[in-house]
Amino acid sequence: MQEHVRVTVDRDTLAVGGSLRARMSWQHPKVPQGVRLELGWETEGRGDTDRAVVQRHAVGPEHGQIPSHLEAVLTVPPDAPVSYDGQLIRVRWWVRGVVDLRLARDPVDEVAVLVTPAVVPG
Amino acid sequence: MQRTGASTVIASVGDTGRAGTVGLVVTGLLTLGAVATLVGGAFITIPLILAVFAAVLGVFSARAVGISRRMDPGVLHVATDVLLLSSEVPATFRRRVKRGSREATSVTARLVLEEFVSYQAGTERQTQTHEVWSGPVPTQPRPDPEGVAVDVVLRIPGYPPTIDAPSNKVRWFLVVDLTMADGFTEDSRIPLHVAPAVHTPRGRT
Repeated sequence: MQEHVRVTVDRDTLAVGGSLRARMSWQHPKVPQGVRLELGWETEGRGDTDRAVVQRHAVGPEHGQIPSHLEAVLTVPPDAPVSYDGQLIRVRWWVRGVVDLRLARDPVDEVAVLVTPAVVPG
Repeated sequence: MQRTGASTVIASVGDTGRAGTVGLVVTGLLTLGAVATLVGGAFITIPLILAVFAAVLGVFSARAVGISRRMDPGVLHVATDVLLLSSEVPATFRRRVKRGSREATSVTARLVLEEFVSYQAGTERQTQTHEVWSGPVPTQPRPDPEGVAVDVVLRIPGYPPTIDAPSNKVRWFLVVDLTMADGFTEDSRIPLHVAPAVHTPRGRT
């Protein structure tokens, strides 16, 4: 059995406070301890890296057999940093699917998303 | 930031005089060190270096203390504590003058967007700042018996909002430069929190 992890999202751009639906499918010869979908951001550039996972949907052995597909609605908090590409700083958002293996490298797939400011009618 | 009735009051940063007082204490210690090493018979270079450091630090610190004795920190009175992208927000800048001339010959203001990063380099924590954008803010003087006051309209551009991560920040400031009638000059940097939300006038999407 070949290993693979694949993450897809129903939109690649969303505003702060908005949500997206993420799907993850995986296949691996080993039985994982769990699988999870995460929405998060991290900085790149001159400064030390700041990063945060703002929402995580995880399924572990306590839920019985680990499903081969996972789906979750993930939401960007209203006060989260938006995507940004400046001179010293870049803020990059992603949806990540992780297969958590015991004593082995965790297979990961990642999809970049763009987080924009919300629109407030005056 | 402090809310009073219908308005929010935002204080400027870096002009409380505290840094100046600390600087004067350090200047005194450096001067004592210079004298002690000179009396102790050290090679002339060491007391000379200490004396030069003390002189430079003393000049900057004395100015900072002088500013705090002459003026209170600048404050911005603004009707809302949430500034939105693409919005226009009326505000009033005030700076109380404690001594000396209360007449300003020039008050100019500008909105500044800057990036700030900090990073570890060896055993030291380094910082770097880059001014990304700056735009003039027209000022309208208003009478204030206690000092200087001007009305401004903050026209916040459409992007980006404030980003406040521990080592990576995108910051907005209102910078107000004052020149008093007796030649005294001083600036205030008022930090503005711009929310990640775009203001859209009614009827437009």
